[in-house]
Amino acid sequence: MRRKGFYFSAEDERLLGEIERRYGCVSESQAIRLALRALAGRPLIGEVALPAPGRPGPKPKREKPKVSNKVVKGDLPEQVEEAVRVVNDMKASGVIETYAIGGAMAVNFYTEPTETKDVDFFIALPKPRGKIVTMQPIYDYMREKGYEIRDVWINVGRVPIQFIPVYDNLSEEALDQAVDALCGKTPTRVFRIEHGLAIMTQLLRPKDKVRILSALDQAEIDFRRLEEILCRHGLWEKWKDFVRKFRET
Amino acid sequence: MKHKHEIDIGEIIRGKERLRRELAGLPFAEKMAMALELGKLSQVLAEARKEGRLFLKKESASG
Repeated sequence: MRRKGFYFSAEDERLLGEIERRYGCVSESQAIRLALRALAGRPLIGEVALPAPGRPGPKPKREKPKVSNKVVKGDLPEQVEEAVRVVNDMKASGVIETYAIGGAMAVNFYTEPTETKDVDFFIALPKPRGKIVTMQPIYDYMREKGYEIRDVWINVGRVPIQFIPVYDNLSEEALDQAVDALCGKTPTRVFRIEHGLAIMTQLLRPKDKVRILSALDQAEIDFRRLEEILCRHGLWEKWKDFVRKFRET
Repeated sequence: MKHKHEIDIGEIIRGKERLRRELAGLPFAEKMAMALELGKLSQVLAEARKEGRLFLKKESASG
């Protein structure tokens, strides 16, 4: 017999009736819910413990585990270097395949420092076994090392870092062609300014516009390379439009 | 002779440019740290403005 999306045998019917009577259920569907809850909560060994009947209460709030951030010594430049070192270690242990610093920090490499709230690490993940790409191993690795995770940011001391998997041809190319750099004494890789400009043109948020202008003013840009990149990724018109508007104002 | 309060705009612009060049030439770790400090400062100011603890002084019409 099929009822409420389930197939019931005569024995099931009898058991449901028994549950209804014993627990004072007001309806058969309540008895079914009780039985399902009991099944879900059934221990592998031992007796089946039925939960108390009645309407289910509010869902208990899931509290985030409180993780105290690992103490990172030194002043801020030292902590920044530590963050880069941690990511290098992560790469060495195979959690990520490769990485490069992108976003505002990459622009800062070529210009005077401008404000930003985090360090963006663009990453390539090892090829997944299935179809799903997950960032979980990164968060597990950092949690294991004792670093505090807040939303998408991981705090290495006072340095919030974010991992961004490369998401399109442009970011993949930027990662492939990133240049070697030194953060203190720690080796790292940074996006080329031309790729940084192309990505900012792609996004063109207000802060990107400010950064583009700052880079045009201060950085040494290979305009031929920039044009090639912009054309290759269909951004040339957008770039020209932005520059034209900027010149008009 | 310049008045003692006279401001040399050219000197200010040159000084600003010099400072920008000096900042751009700092080691990467120093620049990263500075950018984060600036980001934090900007966040604090934005929060204070939002909560009404900070006002931007408007210039009066009479000057």
